[in-house]
Amino acid sequence: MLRRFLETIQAGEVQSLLEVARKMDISADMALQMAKELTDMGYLQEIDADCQEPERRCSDCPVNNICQVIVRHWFLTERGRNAVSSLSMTE
Amino acid sequence: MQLMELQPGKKAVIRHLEGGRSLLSRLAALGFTPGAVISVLRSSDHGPLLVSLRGSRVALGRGEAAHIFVSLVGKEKPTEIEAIKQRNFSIALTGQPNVGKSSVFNLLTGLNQHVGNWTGKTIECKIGTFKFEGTKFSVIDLPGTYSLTASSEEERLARDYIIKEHPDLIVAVVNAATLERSLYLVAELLLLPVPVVVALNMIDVAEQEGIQIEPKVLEAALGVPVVSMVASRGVGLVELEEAILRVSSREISYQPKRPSILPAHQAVLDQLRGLIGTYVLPSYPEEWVALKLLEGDEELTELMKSAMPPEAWEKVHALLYQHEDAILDIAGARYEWVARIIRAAVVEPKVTRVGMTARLDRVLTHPFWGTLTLIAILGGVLGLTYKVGSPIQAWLSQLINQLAQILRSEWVTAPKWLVEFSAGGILGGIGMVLTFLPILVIFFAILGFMEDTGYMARAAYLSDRWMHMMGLHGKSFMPILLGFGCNVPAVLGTRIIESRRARLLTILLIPLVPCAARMAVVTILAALFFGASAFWVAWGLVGCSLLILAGLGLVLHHFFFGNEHVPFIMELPLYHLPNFRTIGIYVRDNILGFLKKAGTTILVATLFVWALSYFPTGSVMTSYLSSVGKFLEPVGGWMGLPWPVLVALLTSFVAKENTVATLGVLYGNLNALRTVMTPAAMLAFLVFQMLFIPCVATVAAIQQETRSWKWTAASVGMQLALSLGLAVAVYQIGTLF
Repeated sequence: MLRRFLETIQAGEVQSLLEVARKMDISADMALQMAKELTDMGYLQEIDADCQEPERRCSDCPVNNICQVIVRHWFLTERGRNAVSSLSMTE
Repeated sequence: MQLMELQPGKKAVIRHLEGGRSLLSRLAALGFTPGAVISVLRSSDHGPLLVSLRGSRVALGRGEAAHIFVSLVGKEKPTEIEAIKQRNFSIALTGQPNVGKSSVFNLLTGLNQHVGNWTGKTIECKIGTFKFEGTKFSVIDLPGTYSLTASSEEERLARDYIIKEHPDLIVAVVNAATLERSLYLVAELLLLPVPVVVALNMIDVAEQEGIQIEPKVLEAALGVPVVSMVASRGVGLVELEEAILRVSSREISYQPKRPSILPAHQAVLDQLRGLIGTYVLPSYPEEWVALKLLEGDEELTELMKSAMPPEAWEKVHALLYQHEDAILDIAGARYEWVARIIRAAVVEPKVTRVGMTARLDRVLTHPFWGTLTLIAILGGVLGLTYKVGSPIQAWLSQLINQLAQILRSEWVTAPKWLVEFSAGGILGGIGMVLTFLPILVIFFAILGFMEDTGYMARAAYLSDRWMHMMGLHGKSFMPILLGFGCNVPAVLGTRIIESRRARLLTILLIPLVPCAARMAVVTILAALFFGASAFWVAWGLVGCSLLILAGLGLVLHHFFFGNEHVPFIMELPLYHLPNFRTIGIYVRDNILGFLKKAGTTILVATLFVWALSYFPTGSVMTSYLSSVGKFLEPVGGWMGLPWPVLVALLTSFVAKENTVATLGVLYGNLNALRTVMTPAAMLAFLVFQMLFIPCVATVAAIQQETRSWKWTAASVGMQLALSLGLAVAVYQIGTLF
């Protein structure tokens, strides 16, 4: 199921987790959990704006709260891409 | 018990016989077979036993009798259970955070609990006891964990406790309303050699949300007892205690239905078990260790590496390396297992927030309709700002001018520089910046509303799609999106781009993204310059800015990213009704941040500009500032801009809002600007302002991130050339009409 998740991501350009969940016929909650687990495993990478680094700059920024509206993003890492391509090779 | 231990007069059943084949054959010929009822008629310390078997009396030597094992008729099983029940069972309470684990713990133990810390840790540990049907249980409340991957201190503690302390039973508390998430932990718990009872808590919350769960189906699917509970109201306590007792005392058989493993991986797993078998620490289950190694568990990998001789570990390592992606199938099987159980035992409501979100998203994230909606919403934001914010801003501006005039006419006894400092420097400068407040309140209120309802994420999602269309693929997207808020975190955000070349080029693009401060200045000046047409001018400026960004993005994509395909996924929250308190806090925090900036950076810069514009003669036209301004005058001439306007633009290098503050200091009443500039010059000024070099904080961030003065100068130079070139072009073309 995790391989299918990676494949579904690889097949699209920009997708929402809800879209991926719908394509896989799973809940959005499960899709989010999968994204987190695949991130821990190194197949996905979550983009982190890291607003607190260096703290001085962001705490001084009057619009630092705006950064918080940016939604969470993940993209396939090289390991993730390799896993998908190895899967398509075996098929 | 052995037959010899059976007291005369008591009946028993033969359970099994031990010994060589000839002895067993002989005993079987005499009728000593498992299941036969037997009683001892006479027994002595040394002589043979006289027993009654199958209606016959049989004399049996003590040596032979020692090979026969019996249990008392009708009482054997209960007696064993009774013996087991005399024990003090240890129960581990586990579950994910926010499943009501503490409520279950409190319900079970009542006042018989105490709080301590895990040895050597600061994490709290609660231990308690309870008694049910005469049997004592000690309960430990393990830290809340999402899984058993040992990726956090809490997970490590929970896992180590189960593995090393080996409790008699695990009670897995799951949230019925978020069963799917909770079951993942259960899938991992079932792999451990400790029986599990599932406490299906918050069943009332699930029912309120229209989720129907069949506990019996769930029980059958999991193969472990499931108890429905509402721990907060004490519902299900007795049933849970009952299940704990029955499973602990092995009264009911424990046959969990664990997630399956692909046959290919099973072979690898067996191979792995063969390799690590003799080295696995006694408390660790061998199969589980092998599985975790295959999953790439770092802690266990280190443990086994240190426990095994290097040559043996080398073989394990080679096998793991060969199957490094097995983790996808093993963990993936758990998700399939969860999905299967959910399909079997849970009926979701027909109308859910997920369903409603999906229906709304069909329109709001649609490439065409979604974009149209976004444009309409953003247009509405600008329209509302002009309709409501600008008149208030104009009124405040007028008020400040009147106050300055009153100061000048009433404060006749004070030194002239002090009057001008107060009227021109403080009121004219910082006071003018504070007239931004109504516009910012509206801007942040709408932004907060969009964020709180979940729409802001859709706006980001649609922007992402545009950027893909523009060619801004991959990792340059995120920092650019951040740039709409503030360019500083956007520049810092380019750290996610591995390629230095691509990173540098993305940094070059970021100052082209209109940040919130730049937008606020343009909004105010557009209203001042163009009145009723300000809406279209502001929209046009934003559109042009984005077009330039897109054009350069295309170049970047084409020449440097090499059509790299980096697919993304984004988390879109479910839509929900806005919480006005949350929006209020959002507006307050942002306004306080703006006031802080106004009271520090902008104030200092404004007073510096005022001092330069006042000294040494007390007149702007003969001040130090005018010397600089007149030097710039020829450049201003290309765009029809008088030198004070150019000076105001230069001060925006400190902070974008300084443009308005400086214009306030130099002109007093901002309306005077309309008399010193033509419409073409005004438009050129707005273009210049929109594309001018970023603020000093952004430039510093660029220098820090590129670690190159050359690249920093290139960024500033490019922006300056672009803004100047386009402003001149706009003015020159404008004068033709």
